[in-house]
Amino acid sequence: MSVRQSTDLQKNNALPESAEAAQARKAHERREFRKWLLLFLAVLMVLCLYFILADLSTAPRFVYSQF
Amino acid sequence: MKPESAKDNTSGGKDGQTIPRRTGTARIRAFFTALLITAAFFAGVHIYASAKAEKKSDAYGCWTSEVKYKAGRIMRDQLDKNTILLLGSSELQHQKSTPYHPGSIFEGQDKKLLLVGAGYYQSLFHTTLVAALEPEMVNRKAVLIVAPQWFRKSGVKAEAFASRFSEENFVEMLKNPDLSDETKRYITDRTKKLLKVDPKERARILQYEEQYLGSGREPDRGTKVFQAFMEEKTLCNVMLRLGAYELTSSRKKESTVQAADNPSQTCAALAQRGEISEPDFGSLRASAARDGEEACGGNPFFVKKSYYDSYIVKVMDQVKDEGIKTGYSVSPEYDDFECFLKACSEMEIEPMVVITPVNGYWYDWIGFDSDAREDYYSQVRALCEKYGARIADFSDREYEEYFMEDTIHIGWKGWVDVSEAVYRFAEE
Repeated sequence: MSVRQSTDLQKNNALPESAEAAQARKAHERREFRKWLLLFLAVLMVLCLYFILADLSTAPRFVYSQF
Repeated sequence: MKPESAKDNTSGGKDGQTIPRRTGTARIRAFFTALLITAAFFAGVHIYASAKAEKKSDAYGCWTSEVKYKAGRIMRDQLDKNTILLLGSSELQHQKSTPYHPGSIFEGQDKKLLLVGAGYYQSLFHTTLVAALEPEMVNRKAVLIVAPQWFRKSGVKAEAFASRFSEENFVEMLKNPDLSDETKRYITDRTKKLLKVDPKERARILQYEEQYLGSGREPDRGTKVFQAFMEEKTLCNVMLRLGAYELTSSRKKESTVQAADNPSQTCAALAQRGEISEPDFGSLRASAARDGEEACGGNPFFVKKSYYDSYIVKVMDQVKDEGIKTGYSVSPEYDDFECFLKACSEMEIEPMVVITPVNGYWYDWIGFDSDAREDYYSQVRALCEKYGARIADFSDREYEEYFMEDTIHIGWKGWVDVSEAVYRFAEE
C-alpha cells in the first residue's frame, strides 16, 4: 500500500491510526483548545469587567472646571 | 514521497503521519468553557459584592467616589445611629490627607461621617439623595456645606448635573412616603429640565414620573431590564472599588501612625492606637496656621503657593476689576436650596447649613464687591431661618489668613473651624 493510499484510508477512518499519530493528534487538539480558550476567556473577561466597571451613562461628557 | 495534506481536517505530521485537525470542535468547546469560567467569575464577584454590602465598612463613610454617590441603596445599608451625613461639593476633595479635614477629625470617633460631594454636586442632587436615604436614617442629622459658586445666574450646569445624576436615587426619592408630592414634583420638574442634555435618561424619568406621580403605569420592559442590569452593575462596581480603596487607605493609615510624632497627625494616630478623645481643636488651629503659612509662602491672596504660581499670576492682570459676569444674587439655585430645606422639614431631618466665605482678597481684586457678596450670604441666611435650619456661618472670615486654600475652597484653619462645627453638631 502506498503512503497516499494509507493516508486516504486513515482520512476515511478505514485504517486505525497508530499510537504515535493518536498522541500527536491529541496533543495538537489540546494546544488548539488551550489557545482558543485563552482567547475567548480574555475577550469575555474584558467584556464582563467593562460592563461592571465602566461608566455607561448617556450624559454628555462634562469636563470639570472650578469656575 | 511526502503525502499531500488533506484539504479539510488533516495536517502534515512527523514521519509522514497525518494529524486530523479538528479545530472547529476545539474552538466550540473552548468558547463554551470560557463562557462557563466567565459566568463562574461573575457569580463569584456577585457573591463577594453581596456579602460585602451587608457589612458595615469603616472606610466607606469618608470614601469620596462618584460611583458611591450614585448608589443610594448601598449607602442606606451603611447608615447606623452614629452616621452623620456631610454633604458638599468640591471643597470635600481638598486637603483630604490633612488632619484638618472632617474625615481626619472624625477618625476613630463614635460618630461617623458619610461624605458626599465633589465639583458641581449642588442642592438638587443632595435633596434627591437625602430623600432616598431618609427611610433608613436612624441619626436624623445632615450637614450641607453651601458654596457661593452654586448660585451663579444659570444655577447648576445641565451637563454637570446630568453627568452626576443618579437614576437609582431619583426612584428612591419618588418612593419616599414622607416627602410631599409637591416637593417630588418640584424635584422632578427641575430634573427633567436639566436632563434635556441626556434624552435617554430623561425618557426613563418620564416613565418613573408617570409611575409614581401619575397614573401608576409601570415602566416598559426595556426600562425594567435596564434597572435590573444597573442594580447588579452598581452593586458589583461599588463593592469592587470599595475593596480596592480599603486596601490603599489601610496602607496610608499605617504611615500616619508612624508619623505620630508630628502633632498635626494626632487625631488619626490616636485613633489608630485606640485612644479616642475629643479632638484638640486649639492645637489643630495653631498647627493649621503654621501649615497654611508654610504652604502659602507669603503671596498677597494667602492662597496655596502652587495655586498662586500656576494660576493667579497668569490671570490676575486680566481679571483686575473685571467683576464677575455672573453674580450670586439671582439664581435658580436659591429655589433648589429652599427645596432642600423644605424636604428636610417634611422628612423631619435636622439640617445644619455651613455657609463658607469666598477669598475676600481675591474677590476685591476682581471687583466683585462686598455688598454683592453680602447679598448672597443674607439670602442664604434668610432661607435657613425660614425653615429653622441651624447655621454655621463663616461668611465673616473672608479676610482671615489661611482660612481659604484658594479663591473659593476652604483650607487649613477653615477646615478646623468647619470640622469643629460639624463635630459639635454631631455630638449634641
